[in-house]
Amino acid sequence: MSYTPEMRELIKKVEATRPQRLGHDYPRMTPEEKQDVLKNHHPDYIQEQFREAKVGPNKGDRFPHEVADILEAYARMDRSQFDVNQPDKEVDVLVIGGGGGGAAASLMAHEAGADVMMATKLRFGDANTVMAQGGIQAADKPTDSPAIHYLDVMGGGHYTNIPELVNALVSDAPDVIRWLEKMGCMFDKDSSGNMKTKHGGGTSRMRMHSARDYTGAEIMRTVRDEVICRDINVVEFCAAVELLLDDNGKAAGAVLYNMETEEYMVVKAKSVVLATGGMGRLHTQNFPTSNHYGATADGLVLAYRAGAKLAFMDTVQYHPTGASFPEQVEGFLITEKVRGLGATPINVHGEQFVYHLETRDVEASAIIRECARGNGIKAPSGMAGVWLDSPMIEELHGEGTIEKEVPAMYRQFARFDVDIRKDPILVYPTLHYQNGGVLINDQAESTLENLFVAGEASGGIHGRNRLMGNSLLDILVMGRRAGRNAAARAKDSNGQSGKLNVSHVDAFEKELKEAGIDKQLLSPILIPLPEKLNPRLKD
Amino acid sequence: MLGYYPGCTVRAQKEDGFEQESLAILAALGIKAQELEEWECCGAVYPMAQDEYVGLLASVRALNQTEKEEKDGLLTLCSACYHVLKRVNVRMKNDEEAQKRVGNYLEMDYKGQTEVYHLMEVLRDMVGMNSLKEAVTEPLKNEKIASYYGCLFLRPQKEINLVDGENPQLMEDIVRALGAEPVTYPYSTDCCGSYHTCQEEGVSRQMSLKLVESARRAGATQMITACPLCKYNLEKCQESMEKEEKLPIHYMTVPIVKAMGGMKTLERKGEAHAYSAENSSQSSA
Amino acid sequence: MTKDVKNQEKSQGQNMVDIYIMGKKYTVPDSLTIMKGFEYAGYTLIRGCGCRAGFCGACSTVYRVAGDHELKVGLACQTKVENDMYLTQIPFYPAHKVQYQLDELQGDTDQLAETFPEITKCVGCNACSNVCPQDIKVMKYIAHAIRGEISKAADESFDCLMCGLCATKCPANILQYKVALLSRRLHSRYLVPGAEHLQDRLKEIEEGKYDAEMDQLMNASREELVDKYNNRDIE
Repeated sequence: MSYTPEMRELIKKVEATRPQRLGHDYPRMTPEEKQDVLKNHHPDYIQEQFREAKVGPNKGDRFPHEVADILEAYARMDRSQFDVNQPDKEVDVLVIGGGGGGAAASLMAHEAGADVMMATKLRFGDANTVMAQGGIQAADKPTDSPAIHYLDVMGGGHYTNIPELVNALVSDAPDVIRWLEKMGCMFDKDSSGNMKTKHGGGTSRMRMHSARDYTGAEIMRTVRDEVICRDINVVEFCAAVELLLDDNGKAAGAVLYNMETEEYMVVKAKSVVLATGGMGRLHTQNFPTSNHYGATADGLVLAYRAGAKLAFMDTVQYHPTGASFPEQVEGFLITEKVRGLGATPINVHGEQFVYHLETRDVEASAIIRECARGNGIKAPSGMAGVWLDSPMIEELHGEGTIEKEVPAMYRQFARFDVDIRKDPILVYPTLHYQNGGVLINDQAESTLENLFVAGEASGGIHGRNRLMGNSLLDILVMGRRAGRNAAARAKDSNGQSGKLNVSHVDAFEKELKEAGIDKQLLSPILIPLPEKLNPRLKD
Repeated sequence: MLGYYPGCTVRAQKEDGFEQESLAILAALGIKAQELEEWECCGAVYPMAQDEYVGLLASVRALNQTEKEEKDGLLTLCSACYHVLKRVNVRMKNDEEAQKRVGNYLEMDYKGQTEVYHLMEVLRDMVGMNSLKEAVTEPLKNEKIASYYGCLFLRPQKEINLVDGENPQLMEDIVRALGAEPVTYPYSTDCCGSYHTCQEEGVSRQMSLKLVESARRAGATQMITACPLCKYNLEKCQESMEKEEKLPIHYMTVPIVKAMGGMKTLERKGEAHAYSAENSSQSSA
Repeated sequence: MTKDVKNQEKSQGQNMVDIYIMGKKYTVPDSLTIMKGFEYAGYTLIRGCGCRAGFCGACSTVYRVAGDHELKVGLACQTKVENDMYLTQIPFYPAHKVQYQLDELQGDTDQLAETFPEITKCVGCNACSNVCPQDIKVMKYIAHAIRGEISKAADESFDCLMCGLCATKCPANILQYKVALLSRRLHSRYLVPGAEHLQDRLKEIEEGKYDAEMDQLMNASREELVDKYNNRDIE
């Protein structure tokens, strides 16, 4: 479905101003301007979209309704179908989640000599990791340093990030790149082996490492292959539906649910790594999402019920450039690399209205504001958006750049007869990333002992806003730490094993009842809620 | 300009130098060849079943690609590639059923238009023995060279038609042009044992040894071939001999390079040719 | 209102088409992708559904349109429904598990054929390339692999999603996508030089070059950080 005649007319305005815009950068916002646009237009600031949790470790904290709904829900497991003290499997380390974080944790735990089992709800590798196109940050160039990276992360997160976590992130980054390089991950390099690096939104140094525009996919392919080659036990299509605790209230395994046979499996473990990703498929505030099908915040539910504290749950990242047209790709992410290469946001009049590489929250807010001002473009589906002037890339870097640098993006639109080399892309912010998650320390351990958490399921590293290229980094830095530490913990526990229980679930459900919350929804939801079960649609 | 089909074995065993030497010799003699943009393994064995068409596909694709790239024919070095490409081409020229079936599957219309050339054929038909002789700067006066073609270049005579299958003289002519003495030996057109080496090594060893001994008795100081498998077998059968007892087995390019003054000289000449070709194309434009 | 609901509401003003999921007829809006068509028809996908954006390769689908003998393939999340489309998904392919230790390999020309000996059985039918939803020249990279051109195979195969459709079609039972994966790993590990600047930085970190500065930053007040951030120089 190519652009409608009406849209074609509007594209002419973009083409008309393109020559004047070439070579002229739109001014960056001042700190005050940034605050202003965030306060007035960022979805995180819309008070009625949030509510305070009535139960659990974060009682009284603000959550998006959609997240609160599944946290304040009853357990979905059918306890008559299994006995927690008759484990089907006993391992040292149970890794829950089969994305990049889970794979990294499994590899490190395995390397440390632990008996590892990875359980994943969908296929191993079906995760947001494969969708991360733009790149991975690491301060490994002479003009850069971990300290400069630190400052960029803190500034991007509005100084709310937890310092020890950021320290871990930026200090481990070069080693993560080395680890990947040694595993044969195909980074973009020059002929002498130097990494080709670029800017991303909010970076002060060019430290974005990439593998064409399949960076996440290439990383996932590599680490997944390594897990397979090392013969680590991977159990697919088995979702964790509840954590198991031991007599001392420490994490000691999980109840798995076979998505196909609908049978349960009790796995006893000396330590547990949770790498279940985020909550994009909850569609907060009805935003479309760039996220994977499995992004239903299952890990948060499990950890919360078991008593782990969450953090930064009132902040969600809306990626400034999700596709608004054609409808089949609504919400689909237009990687930040497209802006990194010089594509700029343009309004209905053909004017640029924001610098193209502001931090994601600022950029997204500016686009929402521009549409609210009536300067957006309406797609036939009714969805509004602004132009992202991709042909600028070819003007700036020469013909053929788009096919070479962002082939996935080019192909994606070409399938629907939109040629992004010649025409701009219609974009609007899309639900991209859960900034918050389970609170962890710099050893990736949660407030629940023996429960390690890595990647998007955790919270605190990115503060209230994550920079591009720090998510792939996060899953690997914290995944590796989680795996290493979980293995060490398993070793320390020296085979002692108490009885297992799920009494925390009873306690939690009792708390729900006392808070007057009825049994409406069962969680974790595992797959995105169909409309008839979605409490948001009943109001 | 010829299209060039390197072949998997020759390409994978780059360090043997067969490809590099062949291309250098041709360039020095003013013959230009360019690798096809895309080519796949020819299958290495010509499919004998008349109703099997799948085995023709890769070769037809390469032959058609040569035409598509507007090349003056397809050059190859390996005996197996030459054998398969040439026979497939003959089949495509004469077998209407094959034309139809293969054409339908590949969605192309190919009827054997492309000519297939081997290095030694190019030397004979495009360069000429006199020119080759003129290009020799260091005649190999003391060498007695036994040429071994191998079955793939000789049989079936009707389809391959490169030389007289009973009394081939092409490699011998080349040897003469290099200033060396060609050795005539009794079993020169027998089989080396071929793929028996994979399963019944004793069989191929015996067959190859017969050839080597026959050449040695006739006074050869070395044997030359253009077949990777023959070369392997001829070397393998001498494996247990002392070094000085072994008869050296070379690709046919080795003595040519030597007689023409070594690789460095050849490369210089090749560049000179490329340069003059560029000039002439400029002046004609 | 979620996206899925929006699609259904919108469908009222839309053209509908008949599709046959595993032979069973359903009427769905013509603007949907195959994946959304499945869901519109009432299926809850567990297998055959992953990123929904053309990256994960989970949703390989085989289909045929009535009246046409040709069997077509595509990713369900990327292909639109058509009228009289007969379809099914191939959510799993029982590929044999090939294990190797990258550290013990060398990246020499025989490596791929040694690890995956079946590649030399390629008959050049090109079914793999014809079936690839990413339009990769699969047969071409397998040809590179056969003759030991590892870097060329890595480059040519780079966009592979590992959906496995190529392997399902191969008469020689080659696991093209796994050959491709190993070619990329060998290329990156052994055939391009390591990044020296990376080694330099690791050494600096190990020697503690940044420790003091990091300590200072971690203990800095918000005001100090804001000041440093706003005044940092940008490359």
